[in-house]
Amino acid sequence: MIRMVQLVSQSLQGVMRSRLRSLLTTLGIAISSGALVSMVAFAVGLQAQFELPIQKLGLLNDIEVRPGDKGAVLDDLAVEKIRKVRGVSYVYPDFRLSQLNVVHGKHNRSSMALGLPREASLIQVFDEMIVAGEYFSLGTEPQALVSDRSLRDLGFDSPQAAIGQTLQIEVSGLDAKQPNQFELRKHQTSVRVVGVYRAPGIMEEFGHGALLLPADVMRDMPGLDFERTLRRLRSDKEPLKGYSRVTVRADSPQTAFRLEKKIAAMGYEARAVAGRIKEARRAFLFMEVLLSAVGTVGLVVAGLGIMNTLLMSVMERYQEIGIYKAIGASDSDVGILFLTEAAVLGLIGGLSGLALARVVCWGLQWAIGIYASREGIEEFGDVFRFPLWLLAGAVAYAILISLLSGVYPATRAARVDPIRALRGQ
Amino acid sequence: MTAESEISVRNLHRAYEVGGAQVHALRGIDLEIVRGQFVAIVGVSGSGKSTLMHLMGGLDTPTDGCVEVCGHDLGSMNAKQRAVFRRQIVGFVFQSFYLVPHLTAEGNLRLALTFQGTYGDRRQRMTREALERVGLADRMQHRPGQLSAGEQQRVAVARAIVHRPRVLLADEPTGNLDHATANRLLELLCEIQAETNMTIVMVTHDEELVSGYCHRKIRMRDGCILESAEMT
Ligand SMILES: Nc1ncnc2c1ncn2[C@@H]1O[C@H](COP(=O)(O)OP(=O)(O)O)[C@@H](O)[C@H]1O
Ligand SMILES: [Mg+2]
Repeated sequence: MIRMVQLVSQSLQGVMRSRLRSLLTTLGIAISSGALVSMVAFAVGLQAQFELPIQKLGLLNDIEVRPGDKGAVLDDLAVEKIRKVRGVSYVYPDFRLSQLNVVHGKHNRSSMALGLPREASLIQVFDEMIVAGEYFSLGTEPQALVSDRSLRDLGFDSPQAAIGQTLQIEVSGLDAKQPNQFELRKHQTSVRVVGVYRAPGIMEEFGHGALLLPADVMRDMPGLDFERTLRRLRSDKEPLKGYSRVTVRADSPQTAFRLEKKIAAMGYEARAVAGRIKEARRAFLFMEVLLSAVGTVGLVVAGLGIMNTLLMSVMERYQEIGIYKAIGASDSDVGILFLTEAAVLGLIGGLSGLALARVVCWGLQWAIGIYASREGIEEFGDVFRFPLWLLAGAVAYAILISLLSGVYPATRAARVDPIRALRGQ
Repeated sequence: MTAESEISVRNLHRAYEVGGAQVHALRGIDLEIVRGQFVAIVGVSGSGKSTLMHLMGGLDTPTDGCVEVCGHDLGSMNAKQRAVFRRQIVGFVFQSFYLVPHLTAEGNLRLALTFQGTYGDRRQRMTREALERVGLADRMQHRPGQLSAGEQQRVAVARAIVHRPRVLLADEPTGNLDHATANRLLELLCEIQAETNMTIVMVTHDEELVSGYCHRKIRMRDGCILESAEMT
């Protein structure tokens, strides 16, 4: 082993002898591995564009819980029980209304509404989304967050103008107090706008400009149970009491999957939100693999360049190899020397490939930015992303291909007959 | 083989195939070389001197017969074992020096020691000692191209003895040197031989030159030994 390390360090001194040839060979590796990195970085960037908002909102940590098939009730008691499970950071009943009327002076807008826990501010989940004002405060004051998309409809000129204003909310809906008896109820309340949010378009619930209310403000609104009542009518499975849906937030995305199982074992229907994007992730993975395969073609061609360079080197250094053997090198020692050169070419090529990819992608990002802003798209994330695994993987891959290309020349070198090498002057 | 015999060659044959025809480079050589001797092998070009030397150094394998060096039977060794034998038991010096051109004098010695499995301070020390021995301690950082022919051959000698081999095999080491330089090199070899009790086998076609230095002279012709004479 020491011997090997020593041999490798010896041969490093020889690599840069024929500088121009090594440079050109390395350039081939650099360009092809750079292209590979750029393509994969693009796929990774695309995936990040898709997943980042979900991540920012902490949705990867979320588990949607519904009452179980066998009639497990999802009431406050159950919520309390779930809250105590290890790894749960908080639990809140998930209220949503498909339609309510928001009135501000003579303006009014029909909107969807979502209930969110006031405690979310404590762990700063939504901070990313708030563009003016702030998130709900703890306590009981009826507050609201409005979407930046609804500002104009409600007669606000700017996000700041909305902060502190009072909105009237009107809801009417059917409530089922008994299995087959409905009651039409009207509800009116006023809320103070504490913040304006901007949601990424990907999140449909937020995307259409829903009004966000503290869960406790929504809890008494009519129509919340309507959907569930319908299900109850159809299948008789849905329990009468309790919430129709509860969101559990785990303290990490990894815990989410564990909690999903645990809560399901408690008799509820549980689904980690992260599970929903598995499909998409698979598609991205496929794309990354495909692009890597395309990039590999280039690398293999560059590998042939390495093979050619090394074979020429074996010819040129035929006599030198004979000398090595005369002063004690074994066949495998000579092989190691040439493989090391291959690996070094791969390493240098791989590293310069990374640099090349960074520069090219930076240029593309800049160009795309200009194009996008001309098209009126203002905010634009990173199109390319270079996670550590990609950087390390690309260099390792370049080295691997180079090593494979070096095998044949190294074998040729190892087989050189010292007598013939030393005779031919 | 006597107790003090360092190299023992028996009925050694080596034939090369050239375009379907057999070229017999050696035709039945028998030879004993005693430890600590300086032996000169002389003969005209093509008489098989180099071939014999390569066989004694484990660089080549015989067609028939056997070679034993320091108790190692070369015939029973595989390629790997012969490599180990070369790096431990023998040192080679060639007519064209055969230094690695891109390495300094020091680098050439260090490379040899690396193949031989010596590293670190020990390698550094042995390198310096060997170069001091040949009087080139101040030229350690010079590349072969920056040294004269005589100096290059002295570096080659240093490289051949740096690992303290028991046998030094030199194939026409003075072939590319002028008369004065050649004499100086032979003096050096004799000194080293006297200090270390190394066995030296040197091939040359310049009989006159070697006569004053060697203990024994072996004359070859057409792959056979013509005569062997002890010098006094
Ligand atoms: N590799 C080889 N292939 C063919 N013939 C060879 C080879 N090596 C040596 N010979 C032949 O063997 C004979 C002896 O060569 P050599 O040992 O080099 O003699 P010397 O060193 O005394 O000049 C010569 O006739 C030479 O042509
Ligand atoms: Mg010869």
